[in-house]
Amino acid sequence: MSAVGVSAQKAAPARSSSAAAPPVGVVTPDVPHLPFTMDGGTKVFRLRAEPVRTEFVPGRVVDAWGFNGSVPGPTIEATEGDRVRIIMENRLPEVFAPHWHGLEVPVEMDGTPGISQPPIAPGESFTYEFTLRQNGTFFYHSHMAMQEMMGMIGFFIVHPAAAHQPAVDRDFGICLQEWMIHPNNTVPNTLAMEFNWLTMNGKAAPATTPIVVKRGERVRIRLINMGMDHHPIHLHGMQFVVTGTEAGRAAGPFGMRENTVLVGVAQARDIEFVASSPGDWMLHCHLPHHMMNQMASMVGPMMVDPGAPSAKVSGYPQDMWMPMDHLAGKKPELLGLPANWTGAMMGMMTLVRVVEPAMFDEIARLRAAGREARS
Amino acid sequence: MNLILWLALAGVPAQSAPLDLATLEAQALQRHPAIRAAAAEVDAAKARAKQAGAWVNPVIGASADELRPREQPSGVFGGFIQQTIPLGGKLSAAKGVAASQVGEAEARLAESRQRVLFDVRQRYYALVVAEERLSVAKELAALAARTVEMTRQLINVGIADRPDQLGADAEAARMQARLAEAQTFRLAAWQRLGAAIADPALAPQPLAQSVSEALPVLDRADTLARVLAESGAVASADGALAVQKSLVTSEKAAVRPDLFVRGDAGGNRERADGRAIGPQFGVEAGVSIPLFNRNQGGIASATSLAIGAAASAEAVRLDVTAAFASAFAEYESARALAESYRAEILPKARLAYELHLAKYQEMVAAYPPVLQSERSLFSMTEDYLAALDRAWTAVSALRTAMAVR
Ligand SMILES: [Cu+2]
Repeated sequence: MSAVGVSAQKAAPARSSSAAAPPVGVVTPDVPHLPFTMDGGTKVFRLRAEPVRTEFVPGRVVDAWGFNGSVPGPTIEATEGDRVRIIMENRLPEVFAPHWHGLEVPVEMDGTPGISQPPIAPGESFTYEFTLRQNGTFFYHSHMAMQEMMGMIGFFIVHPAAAHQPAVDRDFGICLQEWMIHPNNTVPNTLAMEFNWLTMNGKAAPATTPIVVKRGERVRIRLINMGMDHHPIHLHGMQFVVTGTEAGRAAGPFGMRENTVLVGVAQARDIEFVASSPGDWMLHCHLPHHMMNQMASMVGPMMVDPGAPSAKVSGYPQDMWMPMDHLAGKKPELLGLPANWTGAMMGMMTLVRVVEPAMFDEIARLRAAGREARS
Repeated sequence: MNLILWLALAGVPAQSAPLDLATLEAQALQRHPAIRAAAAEVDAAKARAKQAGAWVNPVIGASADELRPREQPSGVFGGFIQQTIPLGGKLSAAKGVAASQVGEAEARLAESRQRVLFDVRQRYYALVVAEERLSVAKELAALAARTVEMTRQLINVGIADRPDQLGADAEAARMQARLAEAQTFRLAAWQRLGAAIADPALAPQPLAQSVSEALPVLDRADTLARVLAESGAVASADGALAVQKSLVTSEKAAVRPDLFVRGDAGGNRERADGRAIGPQFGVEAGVSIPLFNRNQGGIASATSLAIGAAASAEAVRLDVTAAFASAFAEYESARALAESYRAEILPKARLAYELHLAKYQEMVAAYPPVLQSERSLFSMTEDYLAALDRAWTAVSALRTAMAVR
């Protein structure tokens, strides 16, 4: 389904000059798009709520719950004015109901179990149908609290018929999630209040797939958060403006420049910037504990030599330098990154790679060919 | 009785009353072979006492004297009767020895009864505890099995980790092993009690007493006085001393001379004045003179043995006192510990468990603390039972005047 995103990227060779031009599609790295069929004038989507075995980084298997085999669930992309029908099947062993977060729908379509509808029993389905009367960054999620923490969330992007101005050349979505998983277990502890795995679109750095843009392009990144923690997301090297929230497009003009935006629980934030500075720029949550994977104290014989002078320095050991390039793999998006680039890439982190057109085209060519980046 | 009614009644299995300590004690006193053996010793001593002090039998005989073959007729033909008459109190001394031996045998019988009683009491309470330990072991094993399942469920929701499962599995295996051990020890406890009441086939059945029976309150000085007064071992040692003392008297009496009396009568065929001399009589009497043998050795030996027996009796008192000291310390400390478990530790552990359980049942708290507090409760109950076991063993010893085998 990511082909939709790729094609959207390809379909945006240059900024739309016309005010009536449609917006570019959204790319949600590492998360597929949900296909639809047409029933007359209605877009029909099919979602399955189900247990999903996934990997945060290669080898770190996690038994989460999601939709259609994906955690987060596949991205729904539609356009304001669309009539949409979503057939939701519950393949979980317990009751469930999905909520369309931020969308103005008839109350019987709201997905609040016991209030707007009975919860969907295991094996049963429920059909939601409504007309999209907004545009912006929305999401769908289980309205059972612990199921949310098992990963049950997905993007619901509603585009305006004509792109907002100034139109962006590239549009991305990143879903922020946190997890507590014991080191020898694969199942998240949804009751935990502290977390040891932080993910963007279901991957922890360095396994997150970088955002790749051409120098000079206008870029939007949509951030959504549905969890226990708020995340101050920081972009290196450039300043951005917030152009939208979970309620849709904000009223402009967007004067206040920032490089860190706090994405609170249940919020969405759209940030936009011009990728003026070439380079590989970190985009990450700035909570120190969210920049790590499976955090644990390294006190002990592996790190500390009792006879060494370092052992006498108060506070030692703190940080560990552990490049793990093999965890990132050889995705085309990693083309040209220096060796050991993963040493400080952990947790809720990714890269915004601002590249020259030739490099961009090479990455796109490798992606289209299904090839790996050269090491 | 109407036959059919009788058959109907006979067909109803008798609901035997739970085994009660007093009944078992009576049964043991009646049946135990060690007591029968000691009683036979008493009978033997009594029989010897009947024999003691009996007179030496008289000797009667025939005699022919002054036979002169060349003179006819000649010779004195007759008979005699001879009797040794023991003097100097020898007979009463012998009776005294026999009586003291009866006394000693009776003391040993009493001691034997005390030992049997100790065994019955100690093994009865050990069995009460063993039964309770078995039921606690069953609870712990079931609890460990529930913990295994709960851990599996906790891992399934990410709250627990795989090493927790291994720990729970190991704990469950340990509890199974301890359950098997408790079953083995419980069976042994039944066999030991069966042996104590001379009924080796005694089958497990309900017991009248339970671990909730209150431990007696014993006063140290009173108990020591009673133990020394009632101790079978002390009485046996005193009995042995009495025998030795009577033997000294007997040995001294042995020095005094016995009187030998002999009377004879006969017909003298010798002629005098043309007539047979005819009947003639004689009497002899004599005493032994303690000139060379005054039984010095026998008296000295018996005296030494009596001194030794007196020392032994004193040593037995010291041993009993020392054993009392240990048993009383064991009683006091184990009773204090058991009391502290009963009055404070177990109620708190039980309340902690009940609070966790109640909140879990209200669905406002998690299940693991329920299992953990339940495990603590049972584990503390095991400690309580160990203290009770020690305390009851000590009480049994103190109540049977330290008649510990
Ligand atoms: Cu964060």
